[in-house]
Amino acid sequence: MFETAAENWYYAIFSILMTVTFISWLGFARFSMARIEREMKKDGLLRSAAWDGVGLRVLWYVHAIALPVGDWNPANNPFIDVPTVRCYANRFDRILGMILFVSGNSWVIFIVVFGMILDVG
Amino acid sequence: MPEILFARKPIFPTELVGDDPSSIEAFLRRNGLNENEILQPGRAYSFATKDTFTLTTLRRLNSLPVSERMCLARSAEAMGNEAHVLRVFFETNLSPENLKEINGLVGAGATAAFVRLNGFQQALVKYQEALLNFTKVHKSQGPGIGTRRIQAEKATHRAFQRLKKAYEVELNRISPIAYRHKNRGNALSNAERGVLLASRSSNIKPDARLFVADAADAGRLGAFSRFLNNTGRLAVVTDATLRANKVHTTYESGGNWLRESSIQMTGFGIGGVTGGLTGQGVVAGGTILAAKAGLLVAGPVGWAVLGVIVGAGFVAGYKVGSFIDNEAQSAASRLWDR
Repeated sequence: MFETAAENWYYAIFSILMTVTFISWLGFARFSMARIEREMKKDGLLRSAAWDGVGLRVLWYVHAIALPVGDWNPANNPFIDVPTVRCYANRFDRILGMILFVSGNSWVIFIVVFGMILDVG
Repeated sequence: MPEILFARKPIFPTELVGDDPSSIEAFLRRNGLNENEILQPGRAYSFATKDTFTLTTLRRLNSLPVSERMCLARSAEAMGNEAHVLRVFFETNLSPENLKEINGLVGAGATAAFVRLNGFQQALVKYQEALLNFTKVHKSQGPGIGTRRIQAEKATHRAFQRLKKAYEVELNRISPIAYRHKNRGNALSNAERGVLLASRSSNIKPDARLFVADAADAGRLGAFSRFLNNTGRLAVVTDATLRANKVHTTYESGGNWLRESSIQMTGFGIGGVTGGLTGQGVVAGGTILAAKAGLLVAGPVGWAVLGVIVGAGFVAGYKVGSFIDNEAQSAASRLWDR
């Protein structure tokens, strides 16, 4: 399909990672983040990450929920109220968040590293 | 901030400014129009009188190809009342190339400044509430009123101290530093001034100078935070419109518009998602490093550090988003042509 076998492999892995990222993104945004925000609103709390205009706060929710609180996920993160958001998250949210975190970041790293090595595009 | 408008149909200048010859002449001059010239659809114009910045922007906008100007007019329409944001946004990101690629980084774009200004507005509202409460307590009677008055005064001082300590830069921007130790200006000058104004104020119709959160300048800061948020939305709208325009141009010139639309949509989606992921990664990493170094503190230093982190996220998201946008467009075109 593409010029070399390496490029075929590149686009195969690219497509798999992209599909997983897109599906988990949509799933997390609709089933986890939307539910958490709805419940927070019901409890009279303001939406966390109020700065977000276009919906990319989903990535901050993933970071806050999927990773354990510690050096890599500080409780006093200025961009999102980590402890409050975590209170509303369940096991499903954490697993889905982890899938999105791993697939999304692997995808970007994969494209940047191999895209440059293979000089595609 | 003067507004820039786009003509949607051919307009005679008299329809906009009336029949007064001097206003017509001034309008023609500042918009670079000749006598009897009609504003053509898509042409940018403004009613601003002396702002040279606006005039420069107008000239730049009007030197663009008509199709791109119509695109911007449509984007401005989509943004409704926030159309004036377009001027600032376009001024900083004049090249359509930048506009095309910018959607990847908007996630990090709004961030810290909005959080910060939101906090400042909240602190202003809390101080205002404390002042109004003091006015109410000061005028009321009953048992234990002495203690309640002292408590209300202390609450006012605490609210002002918080404002001064955490948001000194913003406070100095809307209230002159020279007033900080003087009995002048509104309640933002200092807590004593606030208490004095509140004690003199009537309970039914409180002194306007107590409404610090509604002060015109604070409103402007609020508009600034909204601008940051809307820049993201506007970038997406403009990017999508420019891409749609490219597809339309291909269609008009008899090219394969289905191919062009699939290429543009692939770039839009993939570039946006990966740019967002990168921006978030860099901002999260930067926040961790800053927290470790003890730099995430209240006040101007913490503010500056957050600014740098967000800036880095912005740049990284932009670079990676645009790289991957181009790569995805190229891959999509090759898949289509195979």
